[in-house]
Amino acid sequence: MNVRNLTRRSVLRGLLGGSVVAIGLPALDRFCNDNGTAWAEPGSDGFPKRFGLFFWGNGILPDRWVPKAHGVGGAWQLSDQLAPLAKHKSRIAVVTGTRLGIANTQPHGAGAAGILSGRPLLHQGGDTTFAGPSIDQIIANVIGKDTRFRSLEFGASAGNGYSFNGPNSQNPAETNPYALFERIFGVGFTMPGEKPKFDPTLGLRRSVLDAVAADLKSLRGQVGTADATRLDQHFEGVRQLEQRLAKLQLAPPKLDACKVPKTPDKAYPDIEGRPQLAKKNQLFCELVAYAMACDQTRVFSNFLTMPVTNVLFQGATTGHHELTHNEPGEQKEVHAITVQCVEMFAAQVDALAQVQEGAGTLLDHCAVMGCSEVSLGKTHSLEEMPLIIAGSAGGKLKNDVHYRSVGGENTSKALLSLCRAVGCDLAEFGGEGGKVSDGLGAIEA
Amino acid sequence: MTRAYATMVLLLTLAACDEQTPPTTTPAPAKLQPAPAAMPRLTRAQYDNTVRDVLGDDLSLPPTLEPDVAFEHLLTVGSAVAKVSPRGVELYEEAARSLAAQVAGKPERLVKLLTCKPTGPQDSACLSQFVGEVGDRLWRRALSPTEVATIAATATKAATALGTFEQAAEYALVQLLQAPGFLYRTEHGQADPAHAGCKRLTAYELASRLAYFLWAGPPDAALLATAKDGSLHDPKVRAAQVDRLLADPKLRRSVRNWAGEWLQLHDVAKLNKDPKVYKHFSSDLGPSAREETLRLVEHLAIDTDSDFRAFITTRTTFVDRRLAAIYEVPADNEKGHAAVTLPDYGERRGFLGQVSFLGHAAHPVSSSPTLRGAFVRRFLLCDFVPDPPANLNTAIPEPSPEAKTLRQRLTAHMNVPGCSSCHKTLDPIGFAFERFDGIGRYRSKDNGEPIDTTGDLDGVPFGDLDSLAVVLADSAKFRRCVTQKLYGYGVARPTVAGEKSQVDALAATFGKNGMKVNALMRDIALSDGFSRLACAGAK
Repeated sequence: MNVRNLTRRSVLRGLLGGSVVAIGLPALDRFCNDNGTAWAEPGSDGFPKRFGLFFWGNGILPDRWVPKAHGVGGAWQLSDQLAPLAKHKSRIAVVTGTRLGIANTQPHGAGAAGILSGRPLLHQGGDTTFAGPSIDQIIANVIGKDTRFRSLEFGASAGNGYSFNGPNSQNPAETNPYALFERIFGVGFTMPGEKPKFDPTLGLRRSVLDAVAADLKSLRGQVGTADATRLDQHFEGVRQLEQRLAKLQLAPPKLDACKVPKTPDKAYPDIEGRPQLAKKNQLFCELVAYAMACDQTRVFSNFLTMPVTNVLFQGATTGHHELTHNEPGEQKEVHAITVQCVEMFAAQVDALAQVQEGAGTLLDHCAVMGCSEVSLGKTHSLEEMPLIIAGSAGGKLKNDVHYRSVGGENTSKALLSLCRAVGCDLAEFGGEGGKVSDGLGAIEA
Repeated sequence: MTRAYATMVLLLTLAACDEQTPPTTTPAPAKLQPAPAAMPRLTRAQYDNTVRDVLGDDLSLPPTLEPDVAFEHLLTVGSAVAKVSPRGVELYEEAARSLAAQVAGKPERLVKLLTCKPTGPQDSACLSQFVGEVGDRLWRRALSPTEVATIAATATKAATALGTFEQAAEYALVQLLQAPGFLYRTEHGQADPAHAGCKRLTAYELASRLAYFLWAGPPDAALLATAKDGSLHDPKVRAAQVDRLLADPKLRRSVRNWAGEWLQLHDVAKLNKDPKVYKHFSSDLGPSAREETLRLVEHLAIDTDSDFRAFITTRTTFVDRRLAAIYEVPADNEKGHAAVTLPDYGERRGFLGQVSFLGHAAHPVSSSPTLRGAFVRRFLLCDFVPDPPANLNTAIPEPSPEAKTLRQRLTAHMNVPGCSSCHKTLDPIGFAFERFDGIGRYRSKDNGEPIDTTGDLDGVPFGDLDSLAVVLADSAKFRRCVTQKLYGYGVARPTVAGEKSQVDALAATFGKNGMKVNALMRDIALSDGFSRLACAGAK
């Protein structure tokens, strides 16, 4: 076990160490057993651990976000902005008082890269990208290999989302619930416990991917370092897809919790210029809960809205971003929007808690991280970062706790704890000022 | 290459607004020092056009692929750094299967691509011929016999498993469309006989670069033939091919694609305004405004081969009924866009009078001199505009008895230390547009007060949009910016410091020859910087 852990750590360190690290990709094979399955371990009750990200843009109002008291259980109460989570207080942890350690080089953009990847935003050619992978992809690399989908990215108003595998490499989010439904439960879905229909094309698709991987490898030898790194990642994606296709003809074990949800509507027209965020989000939340109950994926990212979004929320007189800067006084409208965002996070938590799994619920086997890219939107502050964690990752995380960091600890510490809780035995998380090698003990069980 | 960009990037980040051009470490060389080889990933537009040109123009294209990456604010330049994510791999696979099935599943499509008649599912000669011929077009070069054999082997497996020649062809396409030979435009280069110790693009690579520049799509058979026999390296043949490409209707496609990238029209298509404030807004206004701008660029660059200063100064535009209502001009067409002439006594003229600019560079419920000024600097003058400092509240003061108009409020804001250095370079340009509200409708008053639109552009005074347009269009910066945007689009990778003299020279010729975009495209396509690659020992 130790040997394996050490090796895994060192390779992941290499993977996360920056874009110039050229890893010998086939070496990753050693982490798979003979069936080609990954080494992610189920929790003690036999259910796999899952990770979810829930992100909204433009931050919070810290004065109304931070719960007044801190501690465990009855010692703390939800704040104004966290009130929509009342039903789930015993299933969440709230972390306040932490700060991002990275430089705030661009309003919103730096915070997004900082909170999601633990690294400074990468500026290039007047544009920007992430310098390293976002947390969902770091985790998907480890626990995403056994399922039909390595990870699922979606969001009611997501744009492309913020799921990155490193610079200039983005997993685009699905923005229509119907499209996500078709992807998960349409052609190619086998109900766990049933024997998949023999599909002669699966073998052919794998042959194609094998040939494509060989082409990529051969091209890699003829290009410069930077392009070789690009091809490495492409190669790894092809290889992973090939491995996942290999598993589609195995009969998946029966899962009591699995059922196919209702087919969502195809179109969601704006109403008076306001998108139907809550409705779309609700559908997404239920879809992904059943995708996980049916073990089609173990990692998801729900990008409700993006940083700097000027989406018109219900009841708001103008765009969200503009309000954060220009609404005077105590910012009642911004507050109302933040509460809507937390309500939609609560919908995600609720959808997971609705699914019975063993003696508990799906939520018990999840760690869902709720966050935004700044704290106070008005000043783009990276101090006092908002962070909610729902679920205990099979007992690895404490619930019903408000942890208040007094010394302004690095937010990345909480992310490292999350990674470890769901089965990624990382030595460290993040880069430069966002890099940490210790988790946040206060939220670890 | 990466290190050079990184250094530049760092300096850009640290540059203050006082300096409108980013500082460089070393002075740019007086003579061209070509850039190294690149490996652009097909942009979304190039992917679509390649598939349609080669496999059939009636194919349904994939709904989603991995997003393009912007670099120098151009997606085609970003294609040189774009990677393929795990989700991207899945999307390419789905797309390849869907496209291949559409071709193989419809006999009239497949028959157009076959130059032999298959005798049965296992007709390996016909299969190899199909792979070779379609493969050459999709990969934009001659496939090696080994490459053909590898793809034919997969296809033969498909014929065995599924039973028909069509399915063999289908899986050949599934493989061709996922291969790096299709998804990347690899440029390895070869020794350049004219410049000892240096490289140039191979003839196939040059053919691809020309075709993606001038057609936003793959080379056709005629262009590939000049690559196959190497004659494309002959300056006369190259010029003849460039002229042929420029005369082809597919030029329109690339000019539209370029203009869309340059002017951020993908964002315009997603225009978002509060319909309670702007009753002229609907979700189809953005696409309509985007089309207006594209029509104007086509009109000037292709249909009339005009002086491109007119892009900023013309009174001609193309409106549908939605835009006509905003501009308060009659709409000629029941449906679609039609040319109209804006009144010459008005302020509205050129691109800067269009919703694509006035509505896009604004807030959902208000105008924004700052966003408009920043747009002009960034995209029309190619000035470097840093992001606002992140640790400041960027709110502008509320209206007060002393400061009623947005201009007065912003002027108060400009006195805040830390804000002023940038705002003073942006807002004075943006004030010119203040008689146009956040969606682009004309207004004579702001908050009941008369509007002051006077300002200056780098020291040259103007009175309002009408006169700013002339100052801007005549500026050397605008001329060079258009040149740079087109050059970057052409070479499909970041421009390096060693190419400054090349771009300067192209801009000078552009100016001398009456700012014809068509001629500029020709000059770029024939320039050394376009076809030469870095020399040994170059950094």
